[in-house]
Amino acid sequence: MEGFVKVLRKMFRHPVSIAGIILVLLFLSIAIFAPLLAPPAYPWNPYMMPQSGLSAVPQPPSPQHIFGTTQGQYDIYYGVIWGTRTALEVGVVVIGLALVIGILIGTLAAYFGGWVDELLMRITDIFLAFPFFVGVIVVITIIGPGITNVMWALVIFYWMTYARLIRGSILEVKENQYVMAAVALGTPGGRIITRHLLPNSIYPVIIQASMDMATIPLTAAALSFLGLGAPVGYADWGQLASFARNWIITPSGGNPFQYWYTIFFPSVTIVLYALGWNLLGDTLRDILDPRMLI
Amino acid sequence: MAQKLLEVKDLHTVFHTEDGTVEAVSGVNFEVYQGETLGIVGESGCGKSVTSLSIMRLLPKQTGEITKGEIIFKGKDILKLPENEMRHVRGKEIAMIFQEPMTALNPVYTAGEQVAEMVELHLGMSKKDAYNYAVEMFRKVGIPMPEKRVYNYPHELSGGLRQRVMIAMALSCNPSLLIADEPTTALDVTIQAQVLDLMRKLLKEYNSSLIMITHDLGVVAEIAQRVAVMYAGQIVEYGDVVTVFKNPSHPYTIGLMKAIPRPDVEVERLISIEGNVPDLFHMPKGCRFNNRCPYAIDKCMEMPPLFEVEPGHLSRCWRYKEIKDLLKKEDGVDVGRG
Repeated sequence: MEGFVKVLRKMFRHPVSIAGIILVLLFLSIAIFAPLLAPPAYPWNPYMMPQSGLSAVPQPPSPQHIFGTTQGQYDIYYGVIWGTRTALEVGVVVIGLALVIGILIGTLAAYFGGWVDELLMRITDIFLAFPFFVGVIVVITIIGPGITNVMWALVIFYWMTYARLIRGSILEVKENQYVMAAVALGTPGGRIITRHLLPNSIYPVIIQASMDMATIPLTAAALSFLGLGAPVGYADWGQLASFARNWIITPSGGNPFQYWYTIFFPSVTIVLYALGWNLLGDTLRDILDPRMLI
Repeated sequence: MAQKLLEVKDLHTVFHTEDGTVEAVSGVNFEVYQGETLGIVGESGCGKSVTSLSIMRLLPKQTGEITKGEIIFKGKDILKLPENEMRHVRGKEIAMIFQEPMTALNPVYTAGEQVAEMVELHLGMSKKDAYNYAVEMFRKVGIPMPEKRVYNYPHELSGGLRQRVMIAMALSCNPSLLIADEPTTALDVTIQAQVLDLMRKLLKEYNSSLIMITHDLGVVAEIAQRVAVMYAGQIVEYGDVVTVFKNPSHPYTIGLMKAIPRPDVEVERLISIEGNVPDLFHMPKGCRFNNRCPYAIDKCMEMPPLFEVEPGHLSRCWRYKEIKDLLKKEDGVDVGRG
């Protein structure tokens, strides 16, 4: 508990880390208060963006649509707000599951060593052998598109980083005398792992996970952009970017940036979101670096 | 005579390395009596730590192996115990104190928690009782303000205090045997003396036995009743501390004693034993000390047995009878100190 307070105090010492924390908190509150910020048009399915008309041409910001509408008259503001929920949900679920699998496999490999280590790490290598994006696309093609399937596909190809990180970290921690001392004083194996190995080796994984909170939704957005993620009309930043594809530069001549709002609002949101988590990750790395703990 | 608590019989421990198998401990015998302290002395790499790890059965799983011998603890051969029963021996019956107090405590838990964990684990105490017990243990090992110190993290404590916490942990379940692997090496001299005093006091209070592993003859003289001098995986001299110190009968022991700097004798440079401990892959033929021994003769190309110099005092040297006279002739310095 004392350590936790210390970490918090350190976090608020640098303006850069404060910026990161503010951004992340901002997105968290947007996600929490989404129903208030943008009351859903279809309460039974709030993730569907309201559509005001069927015209393909985007409409500029107006009192009704403060960020304007994108291709197909979807409200950009609504998409940005509810897309935050999608992004966080994808991030938390994918990284959560990947952490569970990765930590389990990495810990077992490092703790038991020998053939167990060899077997588990070769399995990890097999998964790493697939190019990440290609692997994910192949899996989605097999199990079909959709937000849930995208998450599964991402988990399948994402746990290896954590497994390797925690394994390396535990192998290092294992050599510490306090681990040997705990064994020498009769501590059972499970307790050695949960009380001595994991708490001392989890930091690099926490840092990596917070950085990945930025990249995973980006990847999911990219898949949506390719049409493999959310169904049409689902509030998702990647989908908004995908809708803007034809309007980045005005297709019919004239002012080239006439439809700037179609790409500007979704991409700024994505950038700020990624920036926030990256800054937070950096801060955590600075604070939790084992050399800083002594 | 007190009861025999631990008996190590013909212990052989090997390591399987990439370059082949080496024997780190070859045929070690000794016993420890109830309430008694045995000092195991020797320089780095002579097998003293491996001996203690063998007793605890804590050798690295993949590489270390005990190939021969018996370790009888309270009448039972603990080498034959299944691993889960051995776990109850560790900590509760035999506890260990390590060399580096700086790294032997887990940095993420308070000192009190770590002592409390031991008694929760082995004595089945409740969390609250365990905490009070930890405070009590802290007081016993002479940590000032124990009620406050139990809430300190290891990095907030000095080396001496950490070693006291380690001792508190090791003694918390009242083990019959304590193995201390160079417990004072990392501490400065005044703290060393305090810690040794404390250990002696607590051993008496608990009537526990101690195996003190060290390279410091001074520490042995201070705390042990009996001493085993190890060299290259073998015991070369064994006996009562007073006898061995007065009448050292193996050239290696003599070398160790001469190497202690003496303020009362003026020397040009500090005395040392020439050469290094032989590489385990290239043991000299015969007596393992023959390549460094100033008194080696042809006979030393054969392995000497342990000779009985006097009752209970053993020496692994062919010339154990003459060694004292040879010494006197050589430099006139009487190494024996009673």
